[in-house]
Amino acid sequence: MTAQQLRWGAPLLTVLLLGTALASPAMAQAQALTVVVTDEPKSLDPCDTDLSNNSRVLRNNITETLVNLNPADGSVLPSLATEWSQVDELTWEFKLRDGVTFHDGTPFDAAAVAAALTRALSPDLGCELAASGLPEIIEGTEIVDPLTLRIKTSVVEPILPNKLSALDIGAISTPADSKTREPIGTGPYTLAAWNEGQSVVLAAYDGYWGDKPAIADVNIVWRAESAVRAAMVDTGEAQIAFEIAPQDATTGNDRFYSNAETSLLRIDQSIAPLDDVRVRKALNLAIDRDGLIGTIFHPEAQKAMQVVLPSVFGYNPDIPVWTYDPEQARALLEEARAEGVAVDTEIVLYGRIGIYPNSSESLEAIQAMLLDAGFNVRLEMLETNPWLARLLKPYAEDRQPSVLQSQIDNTEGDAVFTLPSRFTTDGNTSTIADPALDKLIADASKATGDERQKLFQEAFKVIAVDDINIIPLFHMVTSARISPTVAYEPDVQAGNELKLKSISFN
Amino acid sequence: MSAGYFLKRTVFALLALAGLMIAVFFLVRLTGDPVNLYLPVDASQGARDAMRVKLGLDQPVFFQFLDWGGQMLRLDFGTSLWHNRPAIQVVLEALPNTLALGAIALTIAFGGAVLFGSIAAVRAGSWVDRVINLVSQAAASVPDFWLGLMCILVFAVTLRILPTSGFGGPIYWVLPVACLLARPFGTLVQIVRGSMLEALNAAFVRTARAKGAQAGRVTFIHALRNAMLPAITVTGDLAAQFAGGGGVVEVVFGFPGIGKLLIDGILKRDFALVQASIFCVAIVIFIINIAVDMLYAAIDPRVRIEQ
Amino acid sequence: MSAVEALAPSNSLPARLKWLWRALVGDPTALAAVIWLLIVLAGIIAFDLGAFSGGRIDLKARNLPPFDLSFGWKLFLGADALGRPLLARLAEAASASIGIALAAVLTSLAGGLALGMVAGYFGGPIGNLIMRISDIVMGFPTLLVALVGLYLFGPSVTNLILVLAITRMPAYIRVARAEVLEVRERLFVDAARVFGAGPFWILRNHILPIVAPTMLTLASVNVAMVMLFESGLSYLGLGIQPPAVSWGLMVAQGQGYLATAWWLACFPGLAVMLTTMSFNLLANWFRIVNDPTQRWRLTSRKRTS
Repeated sequence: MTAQQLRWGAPLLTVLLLGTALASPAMAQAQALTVVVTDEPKSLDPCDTDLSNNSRVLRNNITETLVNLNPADGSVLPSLATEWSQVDELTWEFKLRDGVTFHDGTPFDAAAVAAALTRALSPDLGCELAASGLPEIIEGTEIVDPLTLRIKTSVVEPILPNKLSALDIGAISTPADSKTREPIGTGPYTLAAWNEGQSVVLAAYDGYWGDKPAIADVNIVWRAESAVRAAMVDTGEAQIAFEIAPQDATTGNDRFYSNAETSLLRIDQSIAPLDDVRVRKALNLAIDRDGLIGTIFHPEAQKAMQVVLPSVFGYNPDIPVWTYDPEQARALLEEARAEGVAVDTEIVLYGRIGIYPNSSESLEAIQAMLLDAGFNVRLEMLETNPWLARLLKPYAEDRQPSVLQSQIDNTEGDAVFTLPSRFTTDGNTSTIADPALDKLIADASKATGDERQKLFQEAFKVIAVDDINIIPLFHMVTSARISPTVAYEPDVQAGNELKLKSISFN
Repeated sequence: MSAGYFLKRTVFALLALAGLMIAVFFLVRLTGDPVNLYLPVDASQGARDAMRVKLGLDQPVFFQFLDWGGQMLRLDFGTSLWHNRPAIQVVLEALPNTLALGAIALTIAFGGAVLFGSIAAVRAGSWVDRVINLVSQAAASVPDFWLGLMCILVFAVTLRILPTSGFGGPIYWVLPVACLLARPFGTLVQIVRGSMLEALNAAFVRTARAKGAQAGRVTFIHALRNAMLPAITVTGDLAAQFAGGGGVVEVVFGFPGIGKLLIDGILKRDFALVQASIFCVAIVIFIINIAVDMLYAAIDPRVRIEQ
Repeated sequence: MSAVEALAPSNSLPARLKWLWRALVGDPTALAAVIWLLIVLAGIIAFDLGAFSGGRIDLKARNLPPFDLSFGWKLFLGADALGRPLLARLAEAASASIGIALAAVLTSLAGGLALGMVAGYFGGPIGNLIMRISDIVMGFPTLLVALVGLYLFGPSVTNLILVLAITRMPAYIRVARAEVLEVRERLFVDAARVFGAGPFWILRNHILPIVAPTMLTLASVNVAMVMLFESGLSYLGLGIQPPAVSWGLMVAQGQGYLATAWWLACFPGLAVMLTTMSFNLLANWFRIVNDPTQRWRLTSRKRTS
């Protein structure tokens, strides 16, 4: 090299090195996957998987469950349990998989499952478990042999396996009296580090019983702003970004998928004038759902008539969707007014800030539509705690007539996870008290097969068409931005489960 | 600044701290109880009541207060409901980050404001003054998150010279500091410029000028000292705000500081975390206030705080 | 520079007005500020008179881009996320934003000035108590105060103004106190005391005129801060409730669209910026006009420097 070259070469090289060091912080870990979500997991305790930010990290990555649900039809697939059968009315028997170990080396066996179940149902621990009604129905467990477990229920439970898909199994060493921040499971990844406030790092587990995942190192980070999450995929700082708002999800890398949520407005039908079915019908007819799709709601959102998706067992495909008919709505109100119903009473439209993207705007639009049809509607946006206070019983005695913005999800694949708590007289978020409907739902919960399906379908019809307890809006769709360097297909469970096993680099 | 005065100030600061914590205790419980936020929607009424008992929320407020008072005296802030760890641990992890961010931003803002504010005052009425005036006003009124998102879009996405967000080496601090210092810079330039204009036009300066002397170094230093008093007070006020976290900036950039922690804690009714955060931030604020008071005396001997 | 012009204007009203006008023209930025504020006022009046009728939600016009006259003059600044013309929304929001900001700032200015002067001049136990209470208020995060206010008084504009005023007051108290501490040691104050002037007379006639300009600067600088705080609170649902509107709420609502429909947040943000700058510039101008030693800057025909 000539002296000339050296003179320029050295500073140039320095600048180049500096430039690369400054400009591409993400390139250091070439084969690690970075996923960006909305918020830090609250806890990585295996029993807290009701929250999506927790379950995304844990479910089928660090911990596993006895069974999984097929995203296409909700049928039950084996995971840590290989077979199951109902040995008598109140007892189920599960055969467990052989040769599975926890990350700390201890064996996976019936004792571990029994301990995990007891722990998850313990009232002192206050677990946030998604399985509805489990605490009330589990009587006890019986360890037949290390690979066979019997679970006793207090009532007949035909779909206990479905409900157990929500129970993540942690090692026996998990402390029974406090939540853990170091989950030990059987899954393909271990928790390498939890950098509080910054990231969660997963590393592949060599002793995994199944196929090793294609990606060995995963970083999970979080950003509150959708635009920032999307930008991170563009700059290469992340490969997958979830919950991209509709207005940001306009590039070729954005993939939309149904997230198993249904948005609706719950009518408080025990307070006048909402106790008159004509008024409730008018509320539904006054809303231009087609106008909302593609504008405020995602273009692929589907108009809904019931609060579960078509893939859920018990869905009724025969209920016709509400039409938009403000004229008829006005006529119904007139008819009710003529009979002395106080249709001019102020109805409050309660919203929850941030419940889904553009939620406030959707309510402003809906309020305008209702005002057009002749209703007297006031909008009140609430943050989460006061909204919960209005969602849950007990309700205030002297409350105004109201309609509550809400969203219901069902990833468990069966209508029993949705109906009882929301549409029975005793349900803790229910505003309906119809004894016939109660019996219908109770019978359906105990039935099996076609009988079960028929009864649930009947129940949905009663709620939507006869009692008109809700103003159903849409089966919701969400978007994720996926870098072209990665192969990942989000499915309907992607809201709760990040299936790292299925992801690979292109 | 005598030791006696310092001691007296500290005692009073502690009294104020106690007053603050008691006020927070009662007011935060006025905003509703957290139980519903920490159980699934499907949880039964029995489960909710059980949790209330476990958190001690079923007892009359007075007994809760006595329990809490005892804990406070032992500096036991309890366990954060959301993070499942001792609240004070969560706070002490996040606080240094925020303090560092705030300190860097304010130092640059203060230095820049003194520089540009004094230039503007000395050249009052010229185009330099007008430009500085307008730019500082614009900086003082720009919304944080707008600036944050714009910076990310320009510098990270389009130009690719900085990371979008996150926490790590110096490169990750550039954008958050830049966004955080805009408003203090704008505010302080206004204050410095305004006060210096006052001082530079005081009668004796005009007299000296009329007699032919230039606005010399002595008058300049005097004017600057005059401007320091309000500038330092306002900086102290801004520092106190930043101690509680430039919340929005932290949220946008995913910066693990106490601002976001506090906002989330308040919205999630995590009483232990809120109380621990306010306690630590208040101590920082009181230290800043005492420091500011001490600086007054150093700058302007005429200011006597003690009587 | 005529010696006559440098003196205070004569007492007849037309002469005073003419003099004020000369002073205003002497400072082009203050003139621009007045023009902007008049535009805003015109917008508020036009809105109240119904010139923008049809703030109807029209989902087909959602996020319409600006600067396209083919949709009519009302949509010149584009449409918001619900299809409402942005121009109309800005006009509607103006009175709320300015009203809230001014009310909050004036309240904290008045309170801060009074308490700060008392604390600084008298000192002692009262001064101590005032400063310690101000420290306590300073230690409260604004969000918490807003939430508590919301729970106690419900979502209302009054509540919002009170929250904004109270949380900002400690800053005014501290600055006022600092200035008073410095001024009270000056010779003319001592002289007044020797002549038997009472403390409140001294405060009003000697100290207030010296402290006021800095406080005015602080107040005008705070208008921006208050508008932005209000924006943050409205975003969290603790400030202005939809369908009511303020510039701050528009900025907060437009935040999610910055990459795709920048005008939703930009125009209200610009409105906030121009309005707060106008207040600042006018406050600056007002200070110069009122100071006999500085008036010449505005009324002389020669430019300085």
